Amino acid sequence: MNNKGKWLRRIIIGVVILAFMCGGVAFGMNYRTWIQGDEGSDQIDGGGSAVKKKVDSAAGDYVEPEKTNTENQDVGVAIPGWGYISIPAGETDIAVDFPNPDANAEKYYLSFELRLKDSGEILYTSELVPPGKTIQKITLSRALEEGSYQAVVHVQPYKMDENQTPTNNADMETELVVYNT
Amino acid sequence: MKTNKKMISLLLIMVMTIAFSLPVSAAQVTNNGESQGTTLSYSVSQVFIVTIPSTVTIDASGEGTETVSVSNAVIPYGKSVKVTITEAANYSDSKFRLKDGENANYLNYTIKIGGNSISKGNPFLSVPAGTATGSAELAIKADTPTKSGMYTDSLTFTVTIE
Repeated sequence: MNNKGKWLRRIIIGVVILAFMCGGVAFGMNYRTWIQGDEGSDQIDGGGSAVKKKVDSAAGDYVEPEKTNTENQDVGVAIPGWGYISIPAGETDIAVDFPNPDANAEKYYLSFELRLKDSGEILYTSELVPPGKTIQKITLSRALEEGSYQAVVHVQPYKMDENQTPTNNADMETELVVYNT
Repeated sequence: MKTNKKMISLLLIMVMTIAFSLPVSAAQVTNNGESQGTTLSYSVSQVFIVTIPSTVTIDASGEGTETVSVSNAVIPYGKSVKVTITEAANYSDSKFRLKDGENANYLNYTIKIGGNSISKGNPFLSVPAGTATGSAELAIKADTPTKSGMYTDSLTFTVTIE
């Protein structure tokens, strides 16, 4: 082999080495894009420039979340109404009818408080009455004399959950008729 | 066939015998042309059911709708079932207010029916006798909040027969 041939071989080897070096540098700069692609990547490259982000395909206009079944079925609390309550004079153990309507099934307890409208004096307060049940006998805090009294039955509902949360409530105005036996 | 006829005849005789032997509870008419009156009485108790919203729900837009209704109403002639908001836990300066938990942080709201504001103490639903049902749709709108939190209020609905 003559000198010319030797020099030609060295030049070719040098060009090949140079090509490998350039290729290595280019690979090092772009391997994330070439190998991983840019989908889902929010990393910053070594040069400090942000990788371009894509708009999330789940993003859309705001839609009011659908109510749960319980919320949809909640049409309110059913409160019973009376014309008058008739009780005997001089007695504290009396008969009444304080029902919790079936419409409140699985949703609301009711409690009842009987009080005189003018003075606000509370004559009776019940515990919780489950839906479909009623209170028919109560004991007043004191006996009343014969006459007609304006009264209020305060009805306080409670949610049938662990907290028994009180809800909006109702005052049912009624007449308390006290008669001599 | 003959047996059937005998059976029917026997049955008729028995029925007539029993019928004639029953005591007459009303006044008896004994003479021809005489008349007697009787009184029928039927006591109808006054009953009705009022359905109130358990809570006032306001959505993300600051608005909500709740319904108050009267059903199964049997009340005296000439009277009406009337429903009024008489108490609101956080009411002040003639305004309904929501309160943020234990904080002294309030948010005003209005209650309207058909575009007309309702106020505390004035009946907003009246169901006359003879009309078994009636309802009112309450449109609730809160002012724009400037502080986050869980805002609530509690209403008392008073029901009267007038």
